[in-house]
Amino acid sequence: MDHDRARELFTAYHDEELSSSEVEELESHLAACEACSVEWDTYRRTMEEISGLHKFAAPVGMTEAVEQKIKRRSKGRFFSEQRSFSTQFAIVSFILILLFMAAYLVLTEVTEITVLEEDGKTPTAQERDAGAR
Amino acid sequence: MVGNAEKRLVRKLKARAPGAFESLIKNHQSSVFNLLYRMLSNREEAEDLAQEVFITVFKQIEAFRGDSSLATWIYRIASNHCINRKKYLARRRHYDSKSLFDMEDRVQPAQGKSPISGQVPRPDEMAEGLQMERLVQEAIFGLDEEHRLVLVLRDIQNLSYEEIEEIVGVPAGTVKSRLHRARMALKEKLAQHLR
Repeated sequence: MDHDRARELFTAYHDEELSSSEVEELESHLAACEACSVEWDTYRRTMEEISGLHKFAAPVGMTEAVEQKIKRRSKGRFFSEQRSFSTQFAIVSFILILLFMAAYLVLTEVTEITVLEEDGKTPTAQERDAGAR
Repeated sequence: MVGNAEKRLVRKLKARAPGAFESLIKNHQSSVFNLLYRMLSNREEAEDLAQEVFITVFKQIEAFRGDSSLATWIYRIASNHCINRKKYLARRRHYDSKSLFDMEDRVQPAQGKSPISGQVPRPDEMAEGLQMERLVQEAIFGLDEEHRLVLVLRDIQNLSYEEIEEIVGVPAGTVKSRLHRARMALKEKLAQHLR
């Protein structure tokens, strides 16, 4: 085995992917060749340093940041806050009360004008004001 | 390729079920962030890009067919984003690694280097370790894109050759030759610090 061939096998040797005969051939070359033995030692220590690198954790709040971006880009279609049932009920009730009040006021006004017209009177503005009061 | 638990999660994700997306992010955020951090050498870029990766996952989950694992699919999205961001940053000539190696970023000390009781490293050892880690990261960052990606996926993220083939989209032989070249290039760069 020559030096180039020996060094080509370093990765497969490190990852234990060589056949037993290849391992035997490489190891006997390394035992006999100081240059390749030094190269292998440097390779092995390089691999130790790489596998010793720290793992970095994701920053805190990643989920919230992603959801906020999606909410903004989807114009609130996704990840919008859902109103609670009681809040929805309160809003609907308030709107209904407003509608009833408006309807009551309109109907009261119409009824008063109709009664006055049936009496043959056309109400003046003052009478209308008085009636409203 | 996809287990039952993962199938259930994918079904929930496709149905936009509450909590499903949060669960997916929690499961994969650190591996995605670590990959991007090692590839880009910049904390802010890695953080921003990790968010974009999960936004893409959210938008494209309908297209996930389960031919590969969810993790592999997410890694593929992350790798593609990373390549595009590198091109963008290269156009802007952006490079800044000053925020790398902040102590608070570390959560999982590497195998064999864990400061267990009675073996807490001295300050000088810690400084030496940090210096070496910086040298290794700079050497990795000095590799070209395709070699760096394969090396990070295999030797830092500890993925199998099969998973890397699926992520990078090249045959096993190409993955192995890129990995070999990447490791040999790193060996040359680090040799003077290791002898």
